[in-house]
Amino acid sequence: MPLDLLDLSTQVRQMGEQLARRRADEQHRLELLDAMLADYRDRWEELADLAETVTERVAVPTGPLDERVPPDVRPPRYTALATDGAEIDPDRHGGSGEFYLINVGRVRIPYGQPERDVELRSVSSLGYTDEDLFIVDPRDPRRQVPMRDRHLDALRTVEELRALADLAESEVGARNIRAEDASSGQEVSVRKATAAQSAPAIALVDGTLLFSVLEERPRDFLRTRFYTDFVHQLERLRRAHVPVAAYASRSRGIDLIHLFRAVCGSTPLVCEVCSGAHACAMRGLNDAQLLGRWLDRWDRTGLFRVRSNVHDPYYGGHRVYFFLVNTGDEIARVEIPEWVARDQASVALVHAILVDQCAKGFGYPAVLARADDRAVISLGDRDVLDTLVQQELARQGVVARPSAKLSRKQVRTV
Amino acid sequence: MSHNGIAHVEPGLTGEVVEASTSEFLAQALELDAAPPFGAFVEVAADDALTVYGVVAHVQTAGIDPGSRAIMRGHGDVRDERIYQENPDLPLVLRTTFRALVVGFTEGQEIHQFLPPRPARLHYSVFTCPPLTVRRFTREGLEFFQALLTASEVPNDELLAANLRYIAAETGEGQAFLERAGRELAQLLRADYARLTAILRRCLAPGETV
Repeated sequence: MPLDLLDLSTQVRQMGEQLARRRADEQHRLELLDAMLADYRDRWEELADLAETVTERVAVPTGPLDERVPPDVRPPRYTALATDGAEIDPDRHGGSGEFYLINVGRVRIPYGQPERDVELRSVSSLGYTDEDLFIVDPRDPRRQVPMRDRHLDALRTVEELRALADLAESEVGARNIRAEDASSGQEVSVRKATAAQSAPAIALVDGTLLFSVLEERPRDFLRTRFYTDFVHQLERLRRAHVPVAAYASRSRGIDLIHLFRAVCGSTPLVCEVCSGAHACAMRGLNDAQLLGRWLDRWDRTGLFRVRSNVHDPYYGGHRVYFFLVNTGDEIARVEIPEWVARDQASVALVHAILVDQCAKGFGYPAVLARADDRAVISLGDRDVLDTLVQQELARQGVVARPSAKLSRKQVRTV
Repeated sequence: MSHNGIAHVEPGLTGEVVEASTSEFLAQALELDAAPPFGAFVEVAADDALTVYGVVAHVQTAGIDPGSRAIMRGHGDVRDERIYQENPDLPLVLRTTFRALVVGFTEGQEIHQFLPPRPARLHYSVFTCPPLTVRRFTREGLEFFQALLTASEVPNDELLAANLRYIAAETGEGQAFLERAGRELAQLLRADYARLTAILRRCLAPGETV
């Protein structure tokens, strides 16, 4: 048996006690912070000014901190677009050659439009050429980074948004076709055209718009490659006039916490709130704990802009804003690009549709759940792909042998 | 009606074989909740020369993904059809399947009421048998009753009774057929009078007695 369960059970019990203590401690510290929040509630402009001087990634308030916005009435007719992705990393030990696979689930659900079809699909693509497998620095071709792990994650994130932009553009295409039908004067088409035009669309991805690209040097070719492509997809969505949002369930974002730490300088020994404690009262807390406590079910906070030295230079007019929303059981974080944030109607639409989606999906947006269903790569699927690849290699006369380590795992010797 | 992802093309076309064995086959209905009735005759080609006949013995609607479970979605005044209107993606993640017991086959022009040499072909179309085929098959003999009475994991007596009612109605032979079937059944169940009457009682018009 690989786990020493007897020993583990003791550790689990100790961990449980520790977690309970931590929870009580967090509660205590949150109460301490209430005074500070009350102090800054209406001095948000001061905070916003301060945020501009900080080098760390922080949240910039755009209104009073205790702003609470109830949702608009849920629209009875709308189209929800969503994508989600999964990947298979190149398998160093498998011997079937170097390749990766990205599977993107694409979903379009037109609600309240019985004349339109639902689309649930997945699009799989294999990366196997040198261009796929290595990211080359255009200024110095000797610098090559293999496309795997975090870089493959970044590529998948870009592919998710590309598929979302494709969906959004086809949505606009469908509207135009219907509008043309309408101008031809046929009564049925007129009804369809009005239907499609009066039904707004929003596009959702799971997680964040502020994905990270690991690298040592800032402004390196890796960031340029991934962020430029990502922002191009955001631009396609903007041109298609489809508001886009990234939804993070049980958000653990700490951009606002970072802002407050910048305010107090994180020096607990001289801090009024921490009153001489050894560690900062905000340690281990997140934005949802700070602001989410005041939110009633379905309410959202005001908008905060994320000021990020990593992302802002690339994102331009797509700089990221976020709000927190109470979905009943948890606080979720919703990120939107600047062009959505600046349009009150779009923000209200995103909020109202997310409320409807979470109600339909039992706490998680229904359309994202469907996209996830289509993206997941099961163990069975992996086996089928492996077999396909091995058959093809055998047909080509290439021997596909697993590494010694993998062979040893596959056949346990005693 | 919600589609199971395929468009109707031919009259009588009702599903596609997704599992096949010598004694039974499982088919996915073309449309959600639109399987042929319990006890109905269906047919599917095994190849150019061979057509397999089955009797629908079980119908089920569930999630397409084997790991997914349906959960209660109604709330307030959103019930029944309105749940489908509010969640238009449901017909694409649900499916209706039906299991048919193989009761015979035709090879060339000949009808046989025993198991075929080859099973139905996977992914081939399943059709509801036209009344003419039901009449031809049942006039050939009623030996297939034995298959329905002895099949495992089906409510045998209910299935046979449903099949008798279906044949009586489809062929238009009504009472005449039921009398012939009664005589055949009396032979098969001569040692179990209680079971025989229980089956026949399920085939009676209101007010009739065995």
